[in-house]
Amino acid sequence: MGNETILSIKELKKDFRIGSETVHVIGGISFDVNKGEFISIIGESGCGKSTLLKMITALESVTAGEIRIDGKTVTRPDEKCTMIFQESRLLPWLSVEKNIAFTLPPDMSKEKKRELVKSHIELVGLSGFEKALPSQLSGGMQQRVSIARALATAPDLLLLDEPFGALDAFTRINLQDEILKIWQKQKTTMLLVTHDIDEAIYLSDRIIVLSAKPGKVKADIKVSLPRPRRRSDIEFLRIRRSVLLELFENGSQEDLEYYI
Amino acid sequence: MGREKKNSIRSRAVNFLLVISLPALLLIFWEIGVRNGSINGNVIPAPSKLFDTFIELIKKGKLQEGLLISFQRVIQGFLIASVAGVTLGFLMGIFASFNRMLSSLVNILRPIPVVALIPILIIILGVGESANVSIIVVGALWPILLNTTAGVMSTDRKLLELAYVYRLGKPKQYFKIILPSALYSILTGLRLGVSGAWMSVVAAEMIGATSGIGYLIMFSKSLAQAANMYVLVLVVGIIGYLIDKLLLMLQNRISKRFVAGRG
Repeated sequence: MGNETILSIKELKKDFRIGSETVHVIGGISFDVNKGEFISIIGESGCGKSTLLKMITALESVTAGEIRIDGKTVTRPDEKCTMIFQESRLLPWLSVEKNIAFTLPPDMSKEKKRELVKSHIELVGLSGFEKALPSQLSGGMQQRVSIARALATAPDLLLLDEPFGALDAFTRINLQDEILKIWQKQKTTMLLVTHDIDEAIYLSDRIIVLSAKPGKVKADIKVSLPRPRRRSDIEFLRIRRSVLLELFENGSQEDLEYYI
Repeated sequence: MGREKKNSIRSRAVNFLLVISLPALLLIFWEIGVRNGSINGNVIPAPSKLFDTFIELIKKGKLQEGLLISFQRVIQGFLIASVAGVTLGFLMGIFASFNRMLSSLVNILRPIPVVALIPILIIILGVGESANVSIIVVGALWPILLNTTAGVMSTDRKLLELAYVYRLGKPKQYFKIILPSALYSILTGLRLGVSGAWMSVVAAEMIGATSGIGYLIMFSKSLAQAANMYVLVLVVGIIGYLIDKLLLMLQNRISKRFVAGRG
């Protein structure tokens, strides 16, 4: 652990050209992520939070500024960094175990692959479903497979792009606990993009609040509650209120009351 | 359970009756028409006559002999068209620049009916097997090529993003993501390609061959053996139908195995 920086983002900007117009999606973001931290990025839609993750994985180009992973400027996907997408993105014609093995490095030995696949299927609680096809699994189970697939590659930095967004409330809460357990066990650095305030507070060490159009860091809120956290805790609710205040700065007090 | 089973048997029987009723009715009126003289039996022989002729052709071995030769040509031409069509179609689907390079040429050549190309190919290659097979290649190529390209291009972009983020190599992307994604479409192309090949072989043999089922049709015509001609044409139709059915079954079986989650 320690305070070693794994991800460093400096004055990052992103413009999109839509027709003849230039849209400033991200307008100068800077923050650092330390090794082993769990960070959430929260913001209304259009604040460029998913674009930010795409830039970290080099799926999108950088307009200005810099992204460094372990001191190295990102120009193509970094081997230390992996992403879990909102959809599970499993190959529909491959079984659970083959899907997890699919993204493992080709030079890895067969035994090592088998071992990794087995241990990660256990880790996400899918033992017995090794031979199942994605279409035979529920949405939550599919997302578990994609989590196992990401973790099997042993990333130092795991990006999560609203991975629970499409799931029902029960499954979502289950998977949040699961991710938390994995994080506590493996100490993988996690960067989670979400629009769910409770999820952000429940999981993270720090919450970065982005403003929209163009996306800018509005607040960097430290969450130092002990885990496991309780969503009805007074301190939990206090942090919730301060996140809401940041998100709805311009909104009326009544709007805010509604959300609280 | 029992009732469901009975129902499905009954609905199958009804389906079968529906499918068979129109051709059966047609045959009955045809037979009656020839017998009471309202249809000229010399031009359009009665179904019973056609059946006798069919048996006779099989007994003499002429039908089998012709079909065997035609099948051999179809298989040769189809194999060449498959390799060429899948390879070119795959490259056109992956590389936009390659697609732009070839697409205008493909779009000009594609609408030309195979029959129009037969004289040209015969002039270039001379009367013989290479001309016959070339005609079949052309007749089978386009559906294979176009369906392969379409299948490749319909690959889920999100899976390609995944491959990029997880740093999977290009060969893995091409053969483990794009090819399986395109498989169903490729199989559709191959199925249409076989039908195209079958139609082309008959056309090719009618114009520039001295054997095969297409030649037999022309030969019967020149000897004014109307019954033979009808039997052969019907056989061509029925075989085409059976080939398509067989390949559809094969396609569904293969795609059930390899393209899971596709219905």
